[in-house]
Amino acid sequence: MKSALTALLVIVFLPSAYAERSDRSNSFGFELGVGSGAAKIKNLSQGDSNYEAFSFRGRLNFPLIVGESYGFALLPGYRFSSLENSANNSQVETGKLEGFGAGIHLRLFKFYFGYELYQLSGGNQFVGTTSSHFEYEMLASNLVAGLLVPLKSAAILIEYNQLKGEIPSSATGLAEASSYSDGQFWINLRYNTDFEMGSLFGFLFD
Amino acid sequence: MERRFLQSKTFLRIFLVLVLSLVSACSKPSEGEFFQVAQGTTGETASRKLVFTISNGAANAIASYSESGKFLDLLADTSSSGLLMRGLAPFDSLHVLMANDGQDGLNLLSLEDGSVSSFVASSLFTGNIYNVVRDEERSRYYVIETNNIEAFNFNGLRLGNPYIPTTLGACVISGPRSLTMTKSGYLAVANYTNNDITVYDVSGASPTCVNSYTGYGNDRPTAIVGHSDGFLYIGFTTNDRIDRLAEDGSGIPTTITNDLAYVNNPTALLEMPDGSLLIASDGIDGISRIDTSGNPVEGGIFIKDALTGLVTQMSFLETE
Repeated sequence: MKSALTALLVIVFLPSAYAERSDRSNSFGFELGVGSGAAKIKNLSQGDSNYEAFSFRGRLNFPLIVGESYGFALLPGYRFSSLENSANNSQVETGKLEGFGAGIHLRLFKFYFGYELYQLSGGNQFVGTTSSHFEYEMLASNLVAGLLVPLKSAAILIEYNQLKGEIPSSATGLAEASSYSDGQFWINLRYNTDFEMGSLFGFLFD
Repeated sequence: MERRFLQSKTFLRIFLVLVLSLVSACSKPSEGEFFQVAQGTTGETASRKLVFTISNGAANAIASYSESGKFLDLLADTSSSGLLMRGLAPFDSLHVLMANDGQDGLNLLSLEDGSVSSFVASSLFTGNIYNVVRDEERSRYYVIETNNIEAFNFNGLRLGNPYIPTTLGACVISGPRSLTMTKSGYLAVANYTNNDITVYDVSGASPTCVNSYTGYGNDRPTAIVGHSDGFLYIGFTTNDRIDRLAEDGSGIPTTITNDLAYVNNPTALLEMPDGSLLIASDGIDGISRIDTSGNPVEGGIFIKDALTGLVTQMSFLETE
């Protein structure tokens, strides 16, 4: 199902990437993406709670410095993740995690690396022998690495992220914070507008 | 030229779909466990709180919940300070009294800032500390110490030496784990080692033995509560069950439930305001709820979370 949704996004959006042939890689852009992977929360007992994660996000791309083989950009964005515990039991645990953040990306040729900070709101729901829920807020850091495939007016970004944060003890009632992490593969489609920003800080490299 | 472009476009689409499908399939997490939190965490406040001590070796803490079983707060975590949480009792609206083994003593836990202060110093204890109970009528606390029962007034002054010795008339204390006040004001003790239920009259100048029920073989009575219906309810960790016995220890007990889904190594019992019973069971790592006929109430499982692994004593606190 998740793979099919991912495939659908690619098939639907790819034609738009070829619709226009002018080079807009220096310009302001926006992107949509879907991600899939695994998330983990550390239990007080040091055991792991593992989750299947499926996510989508929107990001804006503000190129601050643009060179032929390099680039530096600011990317504010929003992400939403749906989590489902993979433990095999009559109990069911699902969760969600969403919020806004921003990051900086450094591009070298077709590869890019980035660091992002997200303020996330989350919640987990337990259904089964006992039903309960808890909600939390956390500041999470996100490392990303990816490959950018330029398509003139658009670009495809294939990306992997590692997000880490701590669920505060005030939300769980436990003696200490619980570490959260997820690693997901993403496919993003970026559409570049006509609004060029690449030359704003270009003078630094002239 | 156009045909080549279209071919490359199709190839790229197929390539990406295959890559993403493969990646999605390979990134499934391994099977783990469920995330264990304190149940509820709604920020709820309540004037009457369910509180219990936990002592499972590594973890020692006191947690509070609402009457409906929603987690309110972790009042204390003494895991690193060597205070083994064996019991607790209401003290005043700002403090709860804790019975601690390890560094033997009775301590007061502030409900305002979580600070711990001494109520009865460890110098007055030499043995194994277990449950403590408040005697409202006589303004005393009774606490288990090895095979004796110690008593202290509300100012922390020791009464007797000890208050109830190992042998008092027909009552013999051996490996006691829990104690309770009954509706008529008796003090009842569940003795794990000799399997007796000993009942004392503590209304006079010195205690007397009212009765000792000695018919439990080797069933290990571990938890006991005096109910407002005039009976004692007793939990056994061998032949797991809950029995009902007259509060003076006389007569023949009856078993109200032995359903292992709700009673499995019971370690603590408490009467709810509506008369139902809470049973903390080590075997199910949770607290179940039954009526006095043994039927599960509202599904039976009342609280089951990260903090209900080994509950040593439960009580209600009235707070401002």
